[in-house]
Amino acid sequence: MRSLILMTMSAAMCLLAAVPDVVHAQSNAQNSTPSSAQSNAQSMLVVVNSANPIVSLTKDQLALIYLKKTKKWKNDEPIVPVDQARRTKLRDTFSLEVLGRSASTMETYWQAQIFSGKDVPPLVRKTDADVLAYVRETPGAIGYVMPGTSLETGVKTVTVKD
Amino acid sequence: MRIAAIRARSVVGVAIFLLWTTAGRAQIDADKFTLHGYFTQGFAKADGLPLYGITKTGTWDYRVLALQARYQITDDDQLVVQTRYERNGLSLLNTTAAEIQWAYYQHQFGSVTAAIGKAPIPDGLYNNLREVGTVLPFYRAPPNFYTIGFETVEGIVLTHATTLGAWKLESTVYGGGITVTFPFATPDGPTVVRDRHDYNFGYQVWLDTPIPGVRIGTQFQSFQVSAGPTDTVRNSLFGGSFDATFDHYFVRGEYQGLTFKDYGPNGTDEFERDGWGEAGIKLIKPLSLNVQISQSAIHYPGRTYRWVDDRAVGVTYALNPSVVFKLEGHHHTGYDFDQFVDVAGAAGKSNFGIFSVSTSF
Repeated sequence: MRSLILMTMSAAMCLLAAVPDVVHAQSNAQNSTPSSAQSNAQSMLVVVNSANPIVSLTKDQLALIYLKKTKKWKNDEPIVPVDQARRTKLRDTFSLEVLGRSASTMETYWQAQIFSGKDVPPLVRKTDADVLAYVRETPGAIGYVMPGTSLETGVKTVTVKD
Repeated sequence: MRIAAIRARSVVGVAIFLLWTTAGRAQIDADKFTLHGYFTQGFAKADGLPLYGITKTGTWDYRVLALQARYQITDDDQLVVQTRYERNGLSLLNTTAAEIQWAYYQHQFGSVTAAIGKAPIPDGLYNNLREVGTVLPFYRAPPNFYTIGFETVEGIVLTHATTLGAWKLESTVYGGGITVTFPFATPDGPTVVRDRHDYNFGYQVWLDTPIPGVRIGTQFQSFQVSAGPTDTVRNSLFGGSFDATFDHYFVRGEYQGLTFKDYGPNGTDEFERDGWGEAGIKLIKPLSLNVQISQSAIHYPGRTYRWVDDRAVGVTYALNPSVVFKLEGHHHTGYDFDQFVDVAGAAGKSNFGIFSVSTSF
């Protein structure tokens, strides 16, 4: 029994030692890009503060950010994901397309995260304008808005790849 | 009771002091303070032996409430306090006043999170969600699987999260004091034994697969129990978990084996095997049908008996993810009733039902 415990713990530690630090690997910044770049996700625009050097993310990276499993950009700036209001069509679309689960399933997921003491869900802003204002004011923020939304200075879009 | 009250007040005092001193340096930002809570009110009634405080007369004295405050002190530091209040009919486990369930400081070291204080133990699927009505398909997580007290450790919890390609790995180690509560019935009536020891440790590993919602986990604990007025025995637990949760259905299950050293007759070891499984399907969008089976078996040399066998079916009606109604029926046999059932004889049985409404924010 004791040897089994030691073997299992050793295997777990080897796994931990072998894998890279995801926090940085998942938030690799790319070269800078014009702020008018369009997101590949047609149903939404993913936006960050214009001071953020990142220009593209994969859907998996974006999902890890919104699940709060990736917490810092490459420059060590904390990532602050901003969500749309609950029970809106845009949030439903984002949840299905990026997170792979319905918005209601994700709400239950966050309840489990909260009450198991792990983390709380991303901040919520009620309108596209509120999301943009928050992203403009917060260097590490990332949000999403309806396509066609007018972006003013201080905010840029990020390309989302599959 | 008085010592417990003093200890709870001390914990609250430390928490308030930390919050106060931190707030003094950096003004409290509304975006950094979050308040969450859950509440469930039930009506429960049994037709046989009393169980979990449920009797033949039925009771509305069945509810649980928790409030959780979290303050993000800096990008890497958080303070979490959760209070809890619970009523279970005639059960001796009722809390008569809100108690501090958690109070801990959490710091992020890169991909490692450290929690210090009275912190939740990550263990299995439902260890810290055992009464969160909007998350669970039934009123509570299987009580024979989740020992009362094992949800909290007064010590340190370290969690490391990483990814392996499309796989996600979360590993946790913890150690510290645990106060376990054993409710059991004697020929003289029900009683509760609380057993506290300070040198417990364990670990858990969760592996999220590339399929969203599918994960597997394994757990180990080394814990102490009192074997007499001055004697302490170290015991162990191994467990495994499976969870497949999708938008329209779910399948979950867990198994654990416990070894209690010198706990059986004539100083022999006692082995306990617990397992449960459940499945649910959304019939129409707000309405789900759920089934669950939960069993525990206890083994001594030359003797095995089924301590618990609970089979349940229920429906949930979710107005939205934050408001859920449930109706469930259980057929329960075994020896774990609130009324004494002699293990030398036949198992007791009872059918009970619970209607409940849960909300969380």
